[in-house]
This record gives sequence, C-alpha cells and structure tokens, in this order.
Amino acid sequence: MEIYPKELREHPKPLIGIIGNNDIEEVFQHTEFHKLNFLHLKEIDELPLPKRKNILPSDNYHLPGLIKAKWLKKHRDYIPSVLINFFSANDLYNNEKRITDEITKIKRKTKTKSRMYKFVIVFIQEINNTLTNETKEEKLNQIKKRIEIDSKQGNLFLFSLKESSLSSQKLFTIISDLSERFYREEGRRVKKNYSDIYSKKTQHDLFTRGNFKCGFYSEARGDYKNALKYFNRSYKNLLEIPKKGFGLLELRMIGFVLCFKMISLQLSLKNIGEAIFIFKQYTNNFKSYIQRSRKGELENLIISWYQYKLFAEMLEKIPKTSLSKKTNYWESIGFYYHAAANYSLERKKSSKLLIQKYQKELSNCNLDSFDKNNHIIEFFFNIKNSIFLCQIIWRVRNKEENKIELKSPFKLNTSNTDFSSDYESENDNNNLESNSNRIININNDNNNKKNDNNKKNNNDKVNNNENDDDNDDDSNAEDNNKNNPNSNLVLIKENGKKKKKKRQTVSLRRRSDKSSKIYNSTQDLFCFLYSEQQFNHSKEIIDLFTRAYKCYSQESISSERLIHSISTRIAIAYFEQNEFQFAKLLFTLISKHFRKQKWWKELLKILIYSLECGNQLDDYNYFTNCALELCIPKIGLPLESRIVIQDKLFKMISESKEKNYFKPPIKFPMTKDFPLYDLIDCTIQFTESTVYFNTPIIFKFSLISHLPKAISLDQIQILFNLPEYDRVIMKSPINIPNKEKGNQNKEELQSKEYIITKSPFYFPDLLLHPNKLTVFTFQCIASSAKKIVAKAVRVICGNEESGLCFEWLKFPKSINYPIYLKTFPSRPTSQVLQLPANITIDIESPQPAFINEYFPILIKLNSNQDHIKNGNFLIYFKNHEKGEIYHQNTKDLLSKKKNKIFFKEIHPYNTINQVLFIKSPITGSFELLIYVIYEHKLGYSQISKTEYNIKFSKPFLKQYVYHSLSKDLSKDETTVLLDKQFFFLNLGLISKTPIPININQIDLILFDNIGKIFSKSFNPKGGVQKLRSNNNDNKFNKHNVNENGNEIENGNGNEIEIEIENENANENENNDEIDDEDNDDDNHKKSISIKQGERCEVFFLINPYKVFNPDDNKFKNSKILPNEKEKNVYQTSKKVSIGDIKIQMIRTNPIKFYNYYTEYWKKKKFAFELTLKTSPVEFVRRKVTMDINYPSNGVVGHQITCTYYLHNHSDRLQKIWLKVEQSEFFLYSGFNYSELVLLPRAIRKLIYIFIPKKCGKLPFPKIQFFLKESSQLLKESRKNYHIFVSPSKK
Amino acid sequence: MKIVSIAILGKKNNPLYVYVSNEENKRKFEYIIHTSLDFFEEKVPLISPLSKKSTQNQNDMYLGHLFPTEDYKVYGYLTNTNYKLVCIIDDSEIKEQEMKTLLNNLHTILVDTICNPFYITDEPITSKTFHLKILDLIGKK
Repeated sequence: MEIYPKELREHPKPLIGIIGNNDIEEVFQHTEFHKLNFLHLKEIDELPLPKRKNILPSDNYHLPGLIKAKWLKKHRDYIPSVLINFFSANDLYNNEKRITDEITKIKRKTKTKSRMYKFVIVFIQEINNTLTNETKEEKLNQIKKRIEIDSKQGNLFLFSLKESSLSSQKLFTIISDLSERFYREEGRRVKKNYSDIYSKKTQHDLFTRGNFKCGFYSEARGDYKNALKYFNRSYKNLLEIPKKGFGLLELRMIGFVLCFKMISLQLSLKNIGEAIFIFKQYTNNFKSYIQRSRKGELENLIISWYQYKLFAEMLEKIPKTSLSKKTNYWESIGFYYHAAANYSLERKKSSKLLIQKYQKELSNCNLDSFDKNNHIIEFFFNIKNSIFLCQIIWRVRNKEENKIELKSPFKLNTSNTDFSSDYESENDNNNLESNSNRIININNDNNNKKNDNNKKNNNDKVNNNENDDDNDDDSNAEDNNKNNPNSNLVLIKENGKKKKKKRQTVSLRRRSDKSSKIYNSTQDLFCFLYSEQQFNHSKEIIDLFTRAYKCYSQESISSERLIHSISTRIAIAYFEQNEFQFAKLLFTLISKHFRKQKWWKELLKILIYSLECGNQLDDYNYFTNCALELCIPKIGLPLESRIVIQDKLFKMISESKEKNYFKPPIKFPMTKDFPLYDLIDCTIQFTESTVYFNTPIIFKFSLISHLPKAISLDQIQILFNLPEYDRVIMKSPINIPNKEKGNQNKEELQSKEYIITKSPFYFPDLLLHPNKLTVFTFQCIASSAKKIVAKAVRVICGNEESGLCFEWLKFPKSINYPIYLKTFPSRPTSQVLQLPANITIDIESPQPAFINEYFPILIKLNSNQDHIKNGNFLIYFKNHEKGEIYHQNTKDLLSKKKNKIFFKEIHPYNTINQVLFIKSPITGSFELLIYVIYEHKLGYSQISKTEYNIKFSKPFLKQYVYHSLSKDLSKDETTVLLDKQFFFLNLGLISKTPIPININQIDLILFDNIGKIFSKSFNPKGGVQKLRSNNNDNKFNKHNVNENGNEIENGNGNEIEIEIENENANENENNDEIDDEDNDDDNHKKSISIKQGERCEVFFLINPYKVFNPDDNKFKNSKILPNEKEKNVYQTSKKVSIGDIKIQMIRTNPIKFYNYYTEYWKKKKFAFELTLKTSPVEFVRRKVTMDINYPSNGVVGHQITCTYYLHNHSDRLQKIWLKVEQSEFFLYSGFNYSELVLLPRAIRKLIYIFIPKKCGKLPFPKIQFFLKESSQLLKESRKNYHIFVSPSKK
Repeated sequence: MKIVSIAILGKKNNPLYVYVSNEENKRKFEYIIHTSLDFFEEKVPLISPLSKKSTQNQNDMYLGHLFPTEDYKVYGYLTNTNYKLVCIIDDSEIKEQEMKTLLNNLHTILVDTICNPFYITDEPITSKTFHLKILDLIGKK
C-alpha cells in the first residue's frame, strides 16, 4: 500500500503558509494544529499565483488530459489557504506605518482575481509588555478600519504570550475558519466557472476535472460527505466520456483514483458496504472494456492486480469490529487477495510471453539509468500516468532538490521497432488503447528526433495556451518568473548563477503524430518490461495466496475446497520458484484431497508437478510412487505419456542402482493411502463353496496388469485369514493359461506347469502383458473347519536381482475388493459328529466345601481307542454365578465369558485330568453344569453333560486356644521359667453343627528347640477326660523327666499324636477303640464325635527347656527362624509363640490317586484340616537356679545325704546367701547362715547330712538360698519335699 | 450473457462432464467448478425441507448465484438425485429467469442421458449426443 501515491492515499489537510522565519513555538502549541499542514515562505513574493487566464469557451473544446498529475500535489504542498505573518505588538505604536504598509502589501498580494488567499497578521505581545490588551485591541480595530480589511479575507490577531494557551486556541479557530472559507470559495469558484462556460452534455472530461477539484476542496476542509458527492459526480462524468477521445488506460487510472478516493472516504465514515459497492461498480464498469479490447493486456492485469490488492489491504486495516460477523463472498478480504493473486498469475504469464518476444530488443536497450528498484506500480504512477496526466511527477520531485534533472530511462537505440502495434495500438476503432496519443517528448541526445520535436512543439504552443491555461492552471513561482512558456530553453538557478540550458520539456502531441507515439510507446514498453523482468512474480503470488488462505481460514464462509485450490496455486508457485521441498509437501497434502474426491484431472496435474519435484529432489521413492500413479489409466494420462513415464521410471531405477543410491530390490508396499490397486488387478475365486475335511480346496487366481508396458511377474503370495494356508503345500501342478486371443505366448504358457511346494510362488520367466488376463489355479488341502478368506495378495513384479521389483500388497477386504469367498458355509448347529473314540468323563471332589476356600474338582477324560487330534475338546461350565472358578495351575479366574478349557488332543488309552478350583464367598448349593464337547470343523459332539452339586458351608467347629502357666502357680505368675517349669496349653473345641463331628487327630507341633510336650488330655463337655498319648513316654501324669534331665523325644520330634477316648456316652465304642488301639492302620477309626453345643478341651503339658539363642545353628535351621528384623526382638524379649495346633479329620472314603495329578491328591488325604496358632508365652531364664537331690526314704538315726546344686547361668560372679531353718524332725550340722560365691557358668554342689529323729512322712528342713544383690529367693521346682522315715531295725 | 463453462458433478462430487469454452483457461475453470462445491454444501441446508431457514420453494432445485470470482459469476443447480449442475458466465448482468431456464434445460438433457441404459452411473459422460445437446443449449452449435 505504501507504493500508492501519498496524495491519493491520505486525506488532504489545509495548507497554511507562514511568511518569514518567525516561527514561534508557543503560537502552535494547541493540539489541533496537527490537522493542518504548514508551508514556510521567506517572502510574500514566493506565493504562487495563478497564470493569466485566456479562456476560450467553446463547445468543441476538450482537455488533453483529464487530471493533471501535479495538481493534487500543488494544492497539498504549494498553495496555502491561509497566510500568517508575525509582528511584535510593540510595533503597533512604535512603527505603525511600517505595519500598515506590510499589511497592505499582503492584502494586495493575496487578493488576486481568480484566487482569494486568506491571511492572519499575528501581533505577539511580550510577557513584560505594560500595555493592556484592551488598548491594543482598540489599536488593531483602528488599523483594520484604516486599511479596510474584510474579515472574510483576513484578520488581525493579538497573541498574548502570557496567556499563550488560550491565544493559541483562538488563533487555531481563526485559521481553520479562514481555511475552510478559502476552500469553500475555491470550490464555488471552480463550480461556477465550469457550469457557466462548458456544456454538461458534451464536455464530460471538463466536468470530470471540475468535480474532482470540488471534491478535493471539500475533502480538504473535512466535509467528507460533500467530497463524496463531488467525486461521485466526477466518476459519473468520467464514464460518460467517449472512449475514442481518451485512452482506456487513462480513463481507467483516473477512475481508479476517483474510486479509491471515494472508498477511503467511505471507509473513514465506516460505510464498508458502500466502499465495496463502489469497488464492484468500478471493476464492472471497466471490465467490459478490457475484455472487449484484449489489448494492452499486461497493463490491465497489473492495474487489476494492484487495485484488488490495495482494496484488500484497505479492508484489512479496518478494525475487525467494523466488519459484519457473517460475511458473504464479496465482503471477504480473502476474496480480494485471491483475485489479486489470480491477476498476478495472469500477469506473470503475460509478461513472460512479452519478454520472450522482445528479448532481443530488450537486451540492446540501455537501461542503466533506470531505477532498478523502482516498483512497477510506481512506474505506472510516475511515468505511465504522467503521460496521460500531462505532467511528470518526478520532475516535481527533482525540483524539490533544486534540480531539474530527468532520470530518463529512455535511451533507445532502436527506433524502428514495430511491436507497438501489438502492444499499444492498431487501426481498430474499438481499440481504445490506440487513443493514448498524448505523449511526452523529451529532448534528449537523440538528434534525429530533435528537429521533429521542435516542429511539433511549435504546433503545441497554441494548444498549451488554450488547453493548459484553463481557469485555475497554476505554475510554480519559478516557472512564472523565470521561464518563458513558449521557449524550450529553461533558465536554471544553480549555484547562484544563471545559466542557459536546453530545457528538458514536457509537451503534448497531437494524436496524429504517430511517429512520436511509437517512439514513446516503445520507451514505455521497455521500461515496463524491464520492471516486469526484475519483479519477483512467484514471491508476490505466494504472498497473495497465503494472505487469501489465512483470510479464508479465519472467515466464516465455507471454503474447504477453496483453500485446497489456493494451496495448489501456492504449491505451483513454490515449484516455479524452485522451492521443491515446500512444493512436494503441499502437493502431497493436496493430492490426498483430490484423490478422495476422484477429481482425476486435478490430480493428474498435481502428480505431474510432484513427479518433477521427486526428480529434482532425488527422492526416488516419491518419484516412483508418482510415476506409478500416473501410469494408472483412470488418471487420464494418454497412453504414450504413460509409456514414457514407465520407461523413465525403469531407467531411473537402473541408473540409481548403478549409482548405489539404494539397495535393490525396491519394494513398494502399497498401503491404503496410496491406491495403486488399479495398476495390478487381481481376483480370487474358489471353485466350490463348501469342501470337506481333508479334501482339496481349488481356487483360481486371476491377475491383470494395467501398466502401459509388460512387466515380469516374479512372485505371488496369497495371505489368508488362517495363517496355516499362507504357506500351504501344493500337491498338484498349476496351469497358467492365458485367455487372451491371439497371444503368441499362449501355447508356451499353457505347456508350462509349475509344481509349487510352498508360498510365495515364484514365476521367474512370466511376463504380465498390459490388459491381458492371466489365470492361475491353485490347490491346497482343507485342514481347518473355519471359513477361509483371502485377506491380501502380495504380487511382486520384476526381478530382485536386477533391482526392478515392485510389490503390491492389496487389502481386498478393507477396500471391498472382490477377493472374498469362504470355503465353508456357516456350521450347521444340529450336526452331531460320531466320535471315532469312546471318551468317558469322571468327576471327583472332596467334601465338605467351605466358604472362602478353594474347593478342588477333578475332571478326567479317558480315551480308550484312537488318537483324536483334529478337533478341540471343550469343557464348558454353566451356572456358576455364586462362585468363581479358577484354573488349576495359574489360579487365574475363569470368567463367565472365558468359561471354556480347550484340549487339542487326547492320546489313546490315556487320561486327561483337569483340576479346577471353585471358591464361593457365600454358603449354599453350587450347581455346576459341566459339558464336555468335541468340536470339529464339520460339526460338534457333546460327550457328556454332568450336573455337579457342591454345598458350601461355614466352618462347623469353633476353636479357641489359651495357656495357663500351671495349675498350682499363683495368678501373679505370668512368666514361665525355662527348664524348670511346666505350663499348660489348652485347646477348646465347640461344635456348631447338628451332625456329630468326628475328630481323628489333634497335634501340637512345637517349634524346634522350645520344649517338650509331656501329656495331653481331651475333655468333651468340659468334664475331665482320660487322655492317652501314642507315645508311652509322654503319658499324662508322667510329669517327670528322667533322672538325668535328658529330654525324651518321641518319634516325630516335637510332634505327638494322641488317641482320644470318650468316657461318656460311647463307652462301648470307646472300649472297642481301646481294644483296637494297637492297630496303627485303624487310627482313623479312633475318632471322637462332638455333638452340637458340646465343648471339649485338650490340655498339653509343656516343659520348655531350651534357651532361645537366635544365633544357634540349630535354631537357624528351624522353621521359626526369625528374619533379621525379628532377631532383635527375640534377643530382647522372650515372649514367643510356641507352635501350631493342627486339627485333622481323616477322609472317610479314601480317594484314588491318579498319575496325572498325584502330587496334589497325596497332600489331600484329610477331609478337614485346620491349623491354629498358639498365643505367645513369655519365657524367663533365672541367673541362678537351684536343684535338689535326696533319697525317697530313710531310717531313724541313720544319715540321709541331701545334695543341693547351685547353677550360675550368667557370665558374672553371683553371691548367694544360705539360710537353714531349724527342724524338729532332723538333726544336722553346719552353718545356719552362710555366703557362697558362684563363678560364672559354674555349678556348685552342697551336701547336707540329716539324721531323722522320728518316723513317718517328714518334711525336709527348709534351706533357702538368696541372691545377695537382689535378695531374691531362689525357688525350687517343687514346693514341698517329704521323706518316708522308717523306724530303725533293732 | 456469455457462458464460459458448464459442469455436471456427480453424487460423490466427482466431475461427470466439464465443458469449457476457452481451453486455455480450462484449469482455472476447473478450480472454480471444484470450489463451487463448497457453496453447494453451504446452500443445501437452506433448501432442505427440515430447515427453518428455508426460504426457497422446496421443489425449486435452482440455487441461483453461488459466488462471484473476479471475472465470472457461478450459478448452481442441485437435482433431487444430488447431481450438481454448475454454469459459469462472464461478469455481465443477466436475468435470473434466463439462467434458471437454462439450467432446467440442462437438467432435462442430463436426465435423458442418465436414462440411457448404456450409461454407467457416476461415470464420466462421454456421449457425443450429450455434448452436442450442450452446445446447442449454449448456442454454440
């Protein structure tokens, strides 16, 4: 948008002229002053004045050019509306005469006949000025009256620096009022002049200009609505201009200026719809002319491109809130970018043709001085437009730099070119371009043209006087004062010296001057083409399409395909810019869309581009894919082209193989996204719909190639839904007939027979001719009962050794390909097979079943005859909603869906044992239906259907375990003294079921090295029961160890088994049991029944004798070996569990053991088994222990030796006090009190001799031992010691 | 009114027949025809009997002006069997009725062609008779 001329792009601001250098900052401090433009004039004489008018009103008068190019710039930059001059307020009194003279001069100078400049004389009042404002105002009024200043023309203003802000505001109001008045008067004057002099009906060109000027004046004073009105009138007048009088390009450019003036005004007023309407109107108005002429096409394309782009940019700059939410196509910004991009494409094409055409002439043309960076549209506005606007803008610019130096690009060497007829004009009346006959003639070094030009300039003089000097034709001050308009010599002020130089003039030519026309058209064309050559078309196209793409993506209108279309154009532009990577990426994306939509023609174009991209990028895979797809007939490429592509493809592959770009063979697995199925077409047909087991399946496989040339077939592999068929063994030869009539290879092919042993099938010497059907017959043996479907076909063409190898993997099912035929119909449900073998089923399980425990079931399948292998044996469960079934080995839960177990085969005379576990969380009956089914492809056979009922119940026996330290011990005793103290472990059993419970065996399994079980008793109903141990050594009441203190071990280590006898009701039975107790085999019969509500207790008498030493090696091997963490606990605390109690009920009916799962059933010889853990007991070890040894009887008067053993278990010395109590039954000697020392880990033996004095059962005298440090009494294991004393023999 | 292109698109939006007056600009017209499908899809809900926005007569298959391009105007016609008829004309003013009649006639020609037992549904129309009828319709015969 920046290239659009500033004077057209922006709204004009009122121009204010400041005379002299008295620019005081305080004066212009008001913020509104930025709405004005300022021009500094050194003197009042620099004020540009209008030329003398020489108006010749005539109905036949027409303008040579519609609007002068410099007119806009002149009024924006050179012709002020208001002049400001500054004086000091002191001069009002001191130098009044000078002031009046100056004001008079200004008044006179500004009041010309045709233009009434406005002026403001500002008197600056200093801050320290003592005079009052009122006095000065009076003085100013006096001067006004004296000089007769009309307030409409000018004003005097007293600017007080004291109140600068207020004064500045007032001054702005005065200036803006005067400025507005100036532009209004100018507008009226122009309007009046035109309407008075010219005819509205015929002289449309003049009214176009007049209304344009009025519009400009209105716009300058900020009256946009009025400005719109005038511009609209001007535009309407423009359309009325006969097309013969003016060049189409000129009309179009002026229309363009007017149109965009109106658009910018409408957009400023936020009338977007109106702005779009104006643009549409403009494009429609000129479209028909352009289409009709078909000449100057490139110019039109450039202008069209530019105007669409410019309009899109203007719309884009509007805040989005101003745009309506739901846009139609015309309101879409993307549409304008899209259109601009399309014109840009056309422009590129057209300019390429022209450049090619004039390549030779263009190369001879010297264009060094031409600004290469000049943009093409600037060229239009600066050069091309200037032709029609009768002025040269660049000259105005150069003048700003005090130079008149034309940078003319026109240094033409060839003057006799005749191409302008092609480009610019012909003798066709309809050719509106031919009317562009106002030509710049520049007197350059071309001497051949000089004379001619001079003559023509003389002819133009009259026209210049007549035409250029219309009512407001201005020239700049320099031109007015120093140049003779009729001379082609110009005086240039340079370095303060006046020099006479040949002037480079701009003059207008008559239309009849064909030679000049050709000459200048040629120059224009070269500059034009040169600019086009320099212009990066692709970049512009990509940019515009990208902008359009973004806009469409953001807008609400549906544009999916539109975006694809734009993407295609972008991709092509990238391709043309040799950016193949981007192009490839885009083409790949777009091609998917067109392929999906089956727009083959579009796809064809894209593929051709893609092919080249692959070639340029050396992407062989991509190239091959594109080439192969192009070979598909439906894409629409002619056969010849397809042959060429195939040849090129094969050539490329062989070349790339030589260069070792990739290792042969190339295989192209054709996925679903890359549909090359049509290149090779294949079908599979099964000859029969149903075949039987072990019978041959015959199917035919047909193949047809659509490639343009023949290719060799290398391999075929057919993939079935059942993988065993993929590599099926072929037993029969394969015939490969070719059905094509007239085929020379027919006989040869038919005579060949291939014996194929496994897939893939190799055909090294078979050619696949294009569009000729080749049929293969295959045969395999049906070995499955399921239906067979050919899921995919892999066809490999080419020879792997040569590297020409293409692989097609087709998925017929996924694309509804006709390779689908099942060999078997759906299995008849009623068909029952006769099994070749007799299979029996046997189910076993123990009883009872308890809730939340795994309950095993054994299922056995026995085959007594043949080996059955071609089918599946199925065990199928039903109705197990209440419980869960677990697999034997894995303990995986068999869910309701996965309630089947398969066996593939049963060997003859063998048994399949399958164990399942059933677990139920609730009590109740559990009905299990077990089907054993033999499933075969031809049907199925139900071997058995068994209903199995399992009752799950709660555990029937309530148990509790407690221990009492000793019957005789006081309640305070909470610890068990190791070695020396017995304690009881009690087991209580209460029956909860009405059925008598027969308990066969109760075991206490002590942990290693803890102690010894001496006895146990059984007490149903809470009464005292007689209890016997299996081991005679451990009988109840045998509470002593042997004399040496050694442990008595039974045969099972620490485990003892007891037989239980009941003294209550079943005496007879019990007697029988006692009688039979010697028979070890009948142990299970010696059970005792506990009725409902009965309670029985078992007592275990235990003597712990071992010291807990976790580091002991024996202990390490123990089952209760504590882990590392627990070790510390054992060392510090001696409260431990002593073992487990195991209650067992032996199975009444012993089950048979089976070979298959013997190990499991061996363990399960008990029908009920329960293990209880005993509560922990705290064991204590004393530091010093005492023991006593004495005889059981004595004689009066005879010595009795009593030995005391004191044992120090600690690692310290222990001091012991000894106290002997007096006794009336014995005499003894020794100390009553004594102190002993016991060495660490030592045993001391004390022997006392007593002499009984009396007979009878006498208590021993008490000897008490105390630990000295703690005064603790050492207790004996027995409380009272008695001896039988017999009288002495006389 | 100058008809520059006529196209018939199938049920699956695939092109069945494309006539272009100027072969040089064939690609350009094909892009326009392809883009017109967007506007068919946009307008179809509006003519649906279930649509509340439906303003057109439900039996009217003429969709009118679909969209403009910088140089052309595109008109559409959707048959009850979901065939799409596209007509591209130059950017001159035309009467709606004129275009409607033209597309109705085109529809009649299409129906005749489809009724031909040798025509395979949804395959490109290659019938010469059809082409001649089209040329006759647009006045180029």
